[in-house]
Amino acid sequence: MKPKEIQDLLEYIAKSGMAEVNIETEGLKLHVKRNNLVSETVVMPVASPTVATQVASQPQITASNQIEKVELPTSTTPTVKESGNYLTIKSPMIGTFYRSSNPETPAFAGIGDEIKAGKIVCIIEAMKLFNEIESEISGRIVKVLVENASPVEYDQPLFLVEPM
Amino acid sequence: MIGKKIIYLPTCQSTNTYLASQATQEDLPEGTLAYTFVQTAGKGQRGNTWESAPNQNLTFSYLLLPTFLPIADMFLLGMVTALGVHDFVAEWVGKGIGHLNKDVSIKYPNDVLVGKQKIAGILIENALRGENIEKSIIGIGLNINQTEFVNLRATSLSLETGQTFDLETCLPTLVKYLGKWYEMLKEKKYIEIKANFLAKSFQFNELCTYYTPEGEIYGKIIDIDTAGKLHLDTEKGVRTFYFKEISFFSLQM
Repeated sequence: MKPKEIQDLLEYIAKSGMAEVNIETEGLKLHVKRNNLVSETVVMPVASPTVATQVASQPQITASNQIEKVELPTSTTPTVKESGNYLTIKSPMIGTFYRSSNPETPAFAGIGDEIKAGKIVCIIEAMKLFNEIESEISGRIVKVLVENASPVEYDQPLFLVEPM
Repeated sequence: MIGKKIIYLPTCQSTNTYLASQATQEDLPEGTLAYTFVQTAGKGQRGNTWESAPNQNLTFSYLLLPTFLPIADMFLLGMVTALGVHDFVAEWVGKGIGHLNKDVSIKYPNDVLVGKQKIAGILIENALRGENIEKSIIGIGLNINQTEFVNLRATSLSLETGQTFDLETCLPTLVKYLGKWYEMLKEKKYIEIKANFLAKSFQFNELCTYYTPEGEIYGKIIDIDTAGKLHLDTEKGVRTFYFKEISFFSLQM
């Protein structure tokens, strides 16, 4: 299993809201247990050292032969209960969602960032018109709901914001 | 109205970036225009650059405050800008030598072409807040006296007319055209604007081949709406496309 696959799997599990997951394949045993905001992830390489190296090369999951505890980014641990208290920044238009002004510059806003009303959070491009989207709310970003460079619809939620 | 306040920059990385940053620092009046003849890092579409040889072309940006314009009709901003540039170019091309029968047109969504070659590029960057367009920075790069281009699909006013132009006089003339069309937008003459835009659109109402996600399609452009969608009449009925979903077979190298 490739590190990227593990990461995707973790994200999938986090999104699903499942409390506990056990997966066993030939090269790997994976045990994920949700503990409020922190997920306990145990990656145990089985008999295949190559898998272990691959896993170790992934910065987020530094598994070796010992059992590790991995804190998932907050973005991947939404719960239904909590999202009720969050506010969303929605797309005012159809277009393509970009997190930065160009591929070389950092994202306007990321998870954990405190934003104020008026702060630019992303760009939505449509027909070569580039639109900087300003937040109308203040708070802390807890989740980015859309992948960079993907299409968005009118009114589609883009960011989950915890009011402050 | 455009050019009410003018900022001349002896050199500048990108007039759009400059003006956008000035506009966040102070309350600039609508129509404030920044220009340079030496733009060192001109911006095109996302991540692309706009190359312009020093002291040969027009590169400038201006600030508009089209708060009256619904976001859903935002493409009208692109239409009026392209029409302004188109009219300026059309005034000269045709008066020159040798290229009398070349059409000046607007290639969807907003390039200005002479024949099949690009003479001008437009970059529009808006700031949206809620359902409103707060600010709009319109950037224009228009090739005037440059005669050699790396890109074979580029041309200039000089190449098309055989003349050399004075940049300082070109700018106010072009701005007058841009202002005329923007006034029409403010007066909400949307139908008139769209009709003119369509009439000047490259391959409008002509049966041509296009590349789309569904493969090659033969059809004709029958509409480009105020949201910027292109409507193509094909054998299988009318299909709508967004920019990037469609490209022009005739403009492939």
